[in-house]
Amino acid sequence: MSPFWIDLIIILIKVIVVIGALLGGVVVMVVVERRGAGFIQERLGPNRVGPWGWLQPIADGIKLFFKEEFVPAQAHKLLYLAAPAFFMFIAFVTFAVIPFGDKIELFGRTIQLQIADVNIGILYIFAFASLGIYGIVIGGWASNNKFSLMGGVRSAAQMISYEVALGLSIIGVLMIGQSLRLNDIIGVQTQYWSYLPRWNIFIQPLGFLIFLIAAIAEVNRIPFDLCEAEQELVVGYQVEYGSMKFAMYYLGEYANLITFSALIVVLFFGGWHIPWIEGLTIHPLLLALLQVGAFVVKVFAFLWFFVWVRWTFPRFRYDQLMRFGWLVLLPLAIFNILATGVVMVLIP
Amino acid sequence: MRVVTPKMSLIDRIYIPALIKGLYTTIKHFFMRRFTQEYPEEKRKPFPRYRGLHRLNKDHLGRVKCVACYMCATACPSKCIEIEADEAPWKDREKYPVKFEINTLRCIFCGMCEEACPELSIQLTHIYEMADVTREAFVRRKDDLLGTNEFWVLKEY
Amino acid sequence: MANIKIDGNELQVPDGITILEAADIAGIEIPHFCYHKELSIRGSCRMCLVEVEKTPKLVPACSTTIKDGMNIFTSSEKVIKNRKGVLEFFLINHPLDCPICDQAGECTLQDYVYKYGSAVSRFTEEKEHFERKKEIGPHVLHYSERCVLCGRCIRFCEEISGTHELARFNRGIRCEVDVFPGKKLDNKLSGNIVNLCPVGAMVSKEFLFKSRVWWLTHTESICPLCSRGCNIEIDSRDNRILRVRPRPNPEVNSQWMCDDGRFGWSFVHREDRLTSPLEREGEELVPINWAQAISLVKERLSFIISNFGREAVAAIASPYLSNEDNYLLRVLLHSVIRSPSMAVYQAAQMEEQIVFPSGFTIEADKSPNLVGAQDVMTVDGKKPISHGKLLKKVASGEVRALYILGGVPRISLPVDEREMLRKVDFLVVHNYAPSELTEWAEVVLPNLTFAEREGTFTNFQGRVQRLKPALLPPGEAKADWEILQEVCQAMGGEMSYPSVEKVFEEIAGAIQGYKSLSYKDLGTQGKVKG
Ligand code: SF4
Ligand code: SF4
Ligand code: SF4
Ligand code: SF4
Ligand code: FES
Repeated sequence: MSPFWIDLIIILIKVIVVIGALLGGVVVMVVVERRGAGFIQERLGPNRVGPWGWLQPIADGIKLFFKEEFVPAQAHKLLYLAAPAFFMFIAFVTFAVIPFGDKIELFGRTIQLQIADVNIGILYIFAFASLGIYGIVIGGWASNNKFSLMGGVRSAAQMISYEVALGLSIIGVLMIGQSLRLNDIIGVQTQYWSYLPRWNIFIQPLGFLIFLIAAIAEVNRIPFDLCEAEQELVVGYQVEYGSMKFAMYYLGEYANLITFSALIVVLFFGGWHIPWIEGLTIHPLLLALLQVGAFVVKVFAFLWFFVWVRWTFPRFRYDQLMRFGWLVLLPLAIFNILATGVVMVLIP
Repeated sequence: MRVVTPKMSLIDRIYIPALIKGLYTTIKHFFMRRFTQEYPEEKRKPFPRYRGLHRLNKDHLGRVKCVACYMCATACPSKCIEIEADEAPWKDREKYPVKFEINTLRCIFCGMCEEACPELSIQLTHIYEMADVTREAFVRRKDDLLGTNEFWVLKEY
Repeated sequence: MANIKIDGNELQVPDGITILEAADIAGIEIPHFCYHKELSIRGSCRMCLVEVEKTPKLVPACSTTIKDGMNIFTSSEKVIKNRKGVLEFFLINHPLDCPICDQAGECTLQDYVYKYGSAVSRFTEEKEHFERKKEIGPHVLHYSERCVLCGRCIRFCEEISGTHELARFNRGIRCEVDVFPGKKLDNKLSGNIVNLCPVGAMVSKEFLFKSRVWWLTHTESICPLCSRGCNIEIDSRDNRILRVRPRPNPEVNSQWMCDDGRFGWSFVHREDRLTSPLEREGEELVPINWAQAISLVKERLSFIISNFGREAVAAIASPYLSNEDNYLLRVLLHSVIRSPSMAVYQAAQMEEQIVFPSGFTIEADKSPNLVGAQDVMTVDGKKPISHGKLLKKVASGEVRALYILGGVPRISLPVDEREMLRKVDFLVVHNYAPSELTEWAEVVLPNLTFAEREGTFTNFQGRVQRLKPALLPPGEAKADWEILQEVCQAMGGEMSYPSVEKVFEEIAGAIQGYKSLSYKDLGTQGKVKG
């Protein structure tokens, strides 16, 4: 076999594994979210389907699958159908550049544990993440429902406001990493100051905070779920969506959530890096597996954090949301860049 | 009256401590005792004065105790009791209900009927499992209501 | 005139009235059982005792006449104590059946005990029992246990009906009211005893256990079964009449009504009430809708008019329908078709007039509105002929089309008159149920009975009295005046009456004797025409 075909097969395997893992993650998240919510509210949550309720997402899926396919009258049929698919597609595609492990040597080949090692990885993510909003806006508009439309419009406005802060908040990290490639950013973080790993969280705490908040806004979760807002907009852009179309939005949302958790881990928590493990002698393959494991654990920690936040805080009011984005987060992010710059000049 | 907004300190204005406090509160509850009762397996024990499905009591000869005085129907705030009175077929009794229906869909289980009854004939039992699939089934007729008694004794709560 | 003081209120009252009546004028209630406005005074129940200044003992208000300068106390301590005591005695042997007693809700004893009595009884012995639900007459059941021995019923039979069926029997706690051995309380006024009795001792057999009284809807109306036109109250529930009671009107029926009227309303709920217009198809009458019916009537009437002339159309008004209904028939015939052939239905045989000693009279003429029907059908001073005479014209071929207003509860036409109805080319009948009239009718239009009707009756004295609708019409049935109005309009008439009141206004303008009347002023007691 020519190297080209082998490369192709390897990439295909990676793609399948990543998509499978993402879907698996979504399934796990559905259970974690619902049962977690239950526990936080001193209930049990869904515990009937399968052991500990683990099969609940499957039951949900089957239910959604057998629901009536419904297209509202006067809706723009093509866009109405395309929007959720587009949304889900974008959500999954974004994950492509996230490295979930170090390079491994297998059968004499070096395999990067990442689907595509793009040298502008971070730009890629940002570009695609902001494309996702089209799925929401188009869906909201195409449903021909005022609540949907309002949800979509709000979502767009929110996205514009917070994308700015989100982008600016990581400039500091990029300045330190001197690269847009995610592997390079992780690379910097695998070093140590004496015993402390050089994770960006220690260098860029403000950047992290802004990024975290903006990320929650970016994935439209409470307290920033203005586009769904059950009380005011029913469920916003999803009002007219049912059955599998609804399921696609649902999948896409959780996939987004996972992507952003992964991004936080990569940018601020050293990605797949396990501190102090370099001193031990471990078989390199086992080490790689451990690193993938560490990555997954870190990502899940953040996923849980998102769940936890969701069931703790109430929703922002719209004007508060806007004011917070423009008047608090944005100046803070700019200040963070300036401070980073000054420090970098003073301490080379 | 003027509402005076309390002045917020710097710590309050940063919000982050408050957010952390909130997160702490919710995670505390995560580990608390859960109140869910897993219903079909775990039956709820009603309080002694719980008001569930009505029953019509019987007199010492096993006849309906009700004398069709319509007091319950008069007292009923949702007007869901329908009685049709007639002369009783028994020597020692004069008036009795030929028809006695309670529309339990309309009933609000307030217990006014029980309170109004001069004969202690209508009473609310502890039965709360009344679900059914047709509207007609919710209109409890005289015989159903007389039978409530046995039903209730049979069912152990 | 005497100047007296009741509970501190000074007032002037006519001489010779009793304290009870004076208190009534002053608007003060004095509880009483044996006193009744229309009956002689006995003073036997001791419920009405009041205190009068300078009188050592309490005096019965019902039988003490007013004297100038009397100072009366109706709620002094002594009086209140007496009431409590009297009521306690009444309740000693009273069964307290209120839950199954038909009187509950309008029971004087119940009300008084609630107001003036005590909530607990000190009587612990066994109560005296009597036979319950004794059938003393065809309409009345007697419960001796509940009787307060006020004697109203006995006096009624002596003074009002003069039939003397009832009396007191035995003494002491065994004392009870009953019919004389071998007699029955079967006079024509027996139903009144049920209303007269302040408690549930006399109850109506027909109404027994039918409903609790507080659920009844009361509608003021006029009895449709004789020309006296007793004022009545229709008590209904769920669109059904449950009982009929007299309403006081000193000029017409005092406080009473006869049993024929009281129990004679069952035709209102006949199973075969007509609910839609009918058209003849061979032997059968088949339902059609109103638009079809009206256009059919118009078509056939126009045909007869154009072929045989206006005089060939004749009409018979009904003394069982209201003035307004009959007036619109006159409008149709006189103003729209311009035919002079108008008659009023008159029953061939009348029943005997019954006069009671009190003066209460059951009239011979069993139709409630003969006077009114004749009044409104009188054109230019020419009285309408009787229906018999009109039917004779059918034989001669003079009359080809006949428009009959029915509504007669028990109709029986002589054979020759029925033959005539058969001969008519086109017969329209308004009626509430199939009858002899509808037998040959080509079109039958469903009308209302008195219980659903609004309008006025003119009784034999010329008193115009109002009926109010107690029930909703069955099916598509309509008031006669509404039907006739549509026919008039279809025939080219330009009249339009939005309500009964408007029709009455026109009657008042057009008919002699009604000029001084207006619909609103008739009130509950009616007004005599001029
Ligand atoms: S419980 Fe209340 S609502 Fe129900 S029947 Fe009795 S009085 Fe009526
Ligand atoms: S109140 Fe009691 S006795 Fe009276 S009708 Fe109701 S159930 Fe019967
Ligand atoms: S007569 Fe009056 S007090 Fe006596 S049982 Fe009847 S309603 Fe009650
Ligand atoms: S039956 Fe009625 S009216 Fe007659 S005496 Fe007794 S209480 Fe009076
Ligand atoms: S009313 Fe006066 S004694 Fe009876």
